Amino acid sequence: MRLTDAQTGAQLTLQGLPVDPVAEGQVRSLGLLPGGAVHLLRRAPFHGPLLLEVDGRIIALGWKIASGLEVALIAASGSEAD
Amino acid sequence: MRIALVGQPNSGKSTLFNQVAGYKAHTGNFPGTTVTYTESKVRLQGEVVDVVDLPGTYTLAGTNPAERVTLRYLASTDVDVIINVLDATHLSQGLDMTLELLELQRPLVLAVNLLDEADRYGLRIDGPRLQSELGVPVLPLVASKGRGVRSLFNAAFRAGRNPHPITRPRYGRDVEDALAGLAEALRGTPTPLHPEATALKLLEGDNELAAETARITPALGLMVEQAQRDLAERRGQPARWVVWGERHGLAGNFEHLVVTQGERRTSWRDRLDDVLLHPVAGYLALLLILLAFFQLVYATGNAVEPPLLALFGTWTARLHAALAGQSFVDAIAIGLLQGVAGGAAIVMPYLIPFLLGLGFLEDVGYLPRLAFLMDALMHRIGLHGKSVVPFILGYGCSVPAVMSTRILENRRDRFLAAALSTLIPCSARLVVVFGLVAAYVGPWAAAAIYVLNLFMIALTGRVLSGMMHEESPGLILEIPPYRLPSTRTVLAKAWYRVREFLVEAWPALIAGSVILALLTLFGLTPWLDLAARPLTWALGLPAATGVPLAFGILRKELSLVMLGQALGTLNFDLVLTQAQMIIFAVFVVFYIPCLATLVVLRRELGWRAMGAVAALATVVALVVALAVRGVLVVAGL
Repeated sequence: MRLTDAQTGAQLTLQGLPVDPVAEGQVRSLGLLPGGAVHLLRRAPFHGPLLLEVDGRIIALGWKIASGLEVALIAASGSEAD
Repeated sequence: MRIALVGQPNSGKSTLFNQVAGYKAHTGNFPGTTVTYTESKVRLQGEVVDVVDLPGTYTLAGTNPAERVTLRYLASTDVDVIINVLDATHLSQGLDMTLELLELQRPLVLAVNLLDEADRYGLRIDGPRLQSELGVPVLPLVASKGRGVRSLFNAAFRAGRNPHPITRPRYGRDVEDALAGLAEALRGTPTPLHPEATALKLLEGDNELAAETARITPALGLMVEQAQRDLAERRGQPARWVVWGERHGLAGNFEHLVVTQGERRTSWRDRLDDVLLHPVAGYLALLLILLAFFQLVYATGNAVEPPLLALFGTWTARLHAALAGQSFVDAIAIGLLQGVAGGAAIVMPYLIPFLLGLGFLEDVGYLPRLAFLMDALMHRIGLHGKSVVPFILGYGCSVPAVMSTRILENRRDRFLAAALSTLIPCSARLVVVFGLVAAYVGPWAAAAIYVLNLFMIALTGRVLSGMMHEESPGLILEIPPYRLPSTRTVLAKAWYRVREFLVEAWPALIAGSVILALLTLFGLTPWLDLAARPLTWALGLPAATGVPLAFGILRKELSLVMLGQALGTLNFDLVLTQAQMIIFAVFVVFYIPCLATLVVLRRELGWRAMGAVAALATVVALVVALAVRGVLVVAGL
C-alpha cells in the first residue's frame, strides 16, 4: 500500500524510494531506505505532510512524496500521537 | 593549519564554531541553517589556525548546494583535519556520514555532541569503544555549554600535526570487488577525492563527479555503468541503494555496539507536539504565537519610540538655536542628528525586540513545525512547507531570506521563494508600517497592511507558479527536538544582526540624511521630487515624498527617516493625512527591494532573476498602492 493510505500510528516497512532522483537523494539522506522501519506518527490536515519516526528521528514528508512511497504493514497500532 | 567542521544539520556544529570564533556563524534549530561556509582564525597551542564551519549536510552525495559546497571544500582545499560533529541522540544517522568521511581517508576527529540531551533520553555512549572501532579519536562534547571544546580542538590539532593513516570502512564483498575494479582504473588519474572514495561516489551515481572523471578518462563512464549493472543484478536493486544500504547497515551496527538505552525521562518537550502539531489546536497556537510575537514588537517599540523622539526633538531645537545664522553647518548638523535619531528612535525600538523574538522562535525549534503546519497552504501558492523559512526570515531581513532559499532543491522553487520573500515586510519596512501607520492611524491599520501583504503574496505566488509550472519534490524535512534556547545565543544572534544594521545601514542612513539636508539647503530637492512627481501624484502623496521614496531603495529605513526630514517634522500627523500614511507605507512595503537584497539576489540567482524580482516588486507595489488609494477614496478617507 501507499504510505498515505496507512493508518496514523502504524508501524511500517519501506518498500522503495521516490522515483524523482532529487527526492530519492533527500529521503535517503534522512535515513529512509528500502527495508527500513517507519512509524507514522501524525498527519497534517488538507493533504498536508505526514510526520514519521525513522531511527528515532522525526521527519515530515509532503503528501506528494508520501503518496509515491510503497510500504508494508508491520503493526497497525503504535503510540498514537493525535 | 586548517580545521574543517562537518556535521549533519542540527548537530550543533555552528554552535561549536561560535564557541571558538565568537558569534560568526548563523545558527538555528532548523535543518540547513548554515548554507555557506564561515571561516575564522583561532589561536590553538600557540599557533594561529583557520577553522571553517561548513554547511550542515546529511550526506556527501552532492544532491543539493550545501552537500556540493561541503564535498567540494573537503576535496579541493587543503584541509588538514576534519572535525565531524555528531548528534549523540541520533548516532546511527550521524555515523552514516562519518563513514563517508572515513572513505575520504583524511585526518578525522569525531565530536559526540548533545550529550546532555542524550542523557535525558537515557542514552549512554561508549566513546572509547567507538574510537577503537573506527580508528579515529572520539571526544565528548556539549557545545552549547562549552564543555569539551578545548580538548576537542587540542585533539584535532594533534591529529592534523601528526596524521595517522585512516582505514576506510569495508562493505560487502560484491561492493568491494566493484570498488577495486573502478579504483584500479582510476589509479594514476588525478581525481578530486581519494581514488577509492571517487570510485564509491561513481558507483553511487554522482553525476558531477562522473562528468569530471569522464573528461580525463573517457572509458571510465562505460566501466562505471557496467559495475552498477553487475551490482544491481546481483542484489536485485539499484547499485546506489546497495551502497547506501551497506553504509546505513554498518552505521547501525556501530550504534548497537556503543549505545545503550537506559531509562528515558519524559519532559514537556515530549508532549508539546501533541498541541503544537495538532490539526486544530496547532493552527490556533500558531496564530497565538505569531500574534504574541508581533504584539511584543509593537508594544516595546511603541513604549520606547515616543520618549526617544521627544528627546531628539529637544536636541534638534537646541542645535537649531545654537547654530542660528550658520545655515550650512546647521544643515549638516541637523542632517547628522536626524540620521542618528532615525536609527536610535525609530529603527532600534522595533528591530531589537523583533530580532530577540525571532531568535527565540528559531532556537526553540518552532520554525520546522511551522513548515509542517503550513505545507498544505504553501502548496496553494506553488511552493511547499520548507519555503516558509525564507518567508519567516524575511520578516527580519530580506538578505538572509534570499540566502536561505538555498535549502530548496530546485531553481524554480528558489526563484519563487526568493521573489515572494522579498515582498515580505522586513524589519526595516516594519519600522515604516509601525512608526507611521500603527503610531498615527492605529495598530489595526498596521495589522491590515500585514494581512493585505499576505494576500498579495499568495496571489502573486499563484500567478507566478501558474506561469512557471514545474514538478517539485515537495516537503522533506527533519523536525528537530525542542531545545531551550540559551539566553547567550539568542542575545548574540540578535547582536550579530543589530551590528549589521549599525555597521552597514546606520552610516548609510546618516549619510543619506545629511545629503538630503544639503539637497534641501541648496534647493535641489524640488528637482528630484519633480522627477518622481508622476508616481507621487498617482499615489496621491505630497510631492516632497519623492526623495524619501528614492532614498528608500538604498535602505528601507531611510524612507521613514527621510520622510521626516523631507517634510520638516517627525510628527507626521501635521503633514500627512491618514490615507496618505497608509498609501506611503503600502507602497514602501512592496516596491523594489533594498540595494543589499538586490546584490544578494544577483549573487544567488543571477542578473536576470534580480531584474525580474525588482520589476515584479515595482509592479505589485504600484498596483496595490493604487488599489488601496481607490478603496480609501471610496471609503471617504
